[in-house]
Amino acid sequence: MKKILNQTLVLKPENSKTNVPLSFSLEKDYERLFIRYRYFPKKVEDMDQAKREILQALEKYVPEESRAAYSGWRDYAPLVNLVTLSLDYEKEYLGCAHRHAPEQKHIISAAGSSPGFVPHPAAAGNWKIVLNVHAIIGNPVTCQVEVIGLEKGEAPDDSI
Amino acid sequence: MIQYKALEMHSHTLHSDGNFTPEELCRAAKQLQLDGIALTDHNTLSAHAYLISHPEASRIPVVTGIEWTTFFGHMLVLGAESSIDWRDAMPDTLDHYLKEIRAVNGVTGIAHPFEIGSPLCTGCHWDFAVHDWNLIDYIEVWSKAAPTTQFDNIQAFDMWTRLLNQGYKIAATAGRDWHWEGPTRLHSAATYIGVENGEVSTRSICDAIRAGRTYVTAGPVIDFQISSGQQTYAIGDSLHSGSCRGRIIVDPTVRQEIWGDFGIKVREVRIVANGDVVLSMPAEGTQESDFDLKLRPGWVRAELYGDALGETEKRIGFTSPIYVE
Ligand SMILES: [Zn+2]
Ligand SMILES: [Zn+2]
Repeated sequence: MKKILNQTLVLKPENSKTNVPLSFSLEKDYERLFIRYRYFPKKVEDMDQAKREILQALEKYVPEESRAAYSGWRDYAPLVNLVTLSLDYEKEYLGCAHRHAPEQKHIISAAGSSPGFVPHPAAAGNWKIVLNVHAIIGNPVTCQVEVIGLEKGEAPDDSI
Repeated sequence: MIQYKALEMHSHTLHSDGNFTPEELCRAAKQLQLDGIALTDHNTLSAHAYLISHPEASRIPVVTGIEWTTFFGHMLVLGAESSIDWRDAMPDTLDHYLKEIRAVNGVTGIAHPFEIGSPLCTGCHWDFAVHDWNLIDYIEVWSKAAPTTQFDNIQAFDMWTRLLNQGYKIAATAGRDWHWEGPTRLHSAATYIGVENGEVSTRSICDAIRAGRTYVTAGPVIDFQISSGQQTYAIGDSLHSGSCRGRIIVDPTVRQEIWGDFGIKVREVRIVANGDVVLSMPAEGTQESDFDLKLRPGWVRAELYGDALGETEKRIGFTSPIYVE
């Protein structure tokens, strides 16, 4: 078991709609790659801000004659931050875990990868995680990314 | 010989943010009496990799696709023979990527262009500048449930019509944007696609969309043709302007168990040319109508109107155009 990457980033609203690459390389082949990332807070706690942003969006996107049906801003609260993780090996795109859970664990291996990623050996070479920062609303979001190389028979330690 | 097949053109599994396994999605699609499904997970092809290694999992033809879930718009890409990176497209640089997709035989459609966007749903609203609309093969004109009434679908329909009026040849599709099974009796639409010998595959569906052979319906199936001289022209074909004879068949007996509970009743068939209604015919039950048309250059399509979900005078279905030169 080898810790390959352990990085903490602070993402701000101005990072919304950008991709943040995190490169790492493996000196040798592993049996599996274990990737964990989490970010918090997930929800925008400031309800006044949520209300303001939601009403603004409804005004922007819903034509006036249809707006009556969309008056309840609470239907869209709470607003949430969204950061997804995509992965490349050398020049090859392996996939993305596009879902809302703010804490995710993924396995990459030739025998099978977690949903969102194609099976791929945890091979020596250049790897790239790309954080897809879809939305950071309001307060900064702390994002932690860890990558661990697992040898045959090793399991990811849940306390990591 | 072209046969039209019913497809769901926009779906997700737990390989992105859906609840379906690929097996469950295929099973649900079969229950809807569909002939095929485009599996278009957000930013990943891993469900397709799974289906290739577990061929027994798909009991229905699955079209290879991906939903480019970018920050500036969602785009359905079907049949691309190698993966083009969705992450670098910026609001003003999309054409470059559209060309790259085309170079690997992919077909591109804009998904739910008028869905409420950022910050409620980043990228759900279409904000890309497309400089050459010839690079867009289709628009998902109807999205999600109750497509006959939602404002965003009406806006998407108008956008599509505007582009046709500008001379672009763009097919129309519908998509449930299917993420989970949900209420089984959901009022939605199907996309019918005209494929060679009725064979549904990634290749045949891409070819058909490129050729404009699609129509969308929340109810009856449609057959729309125009005859001129000795020739008959079908959806997606091009004919010369002038006098011709149109023919439309509306058949409510197909897949009626699926849509029959939503109070859908066709009352009127309209023929629309270059954005204007040129002919309106009352309709009821199975309908076969022949009519004279005088066509000017541009396009002509058929539209069905009637009752849906307790409302009247709703658009229930529409064809992609027959083009006029
Ligand atoms: Zn989408
Ligand atoms: Zn979708």
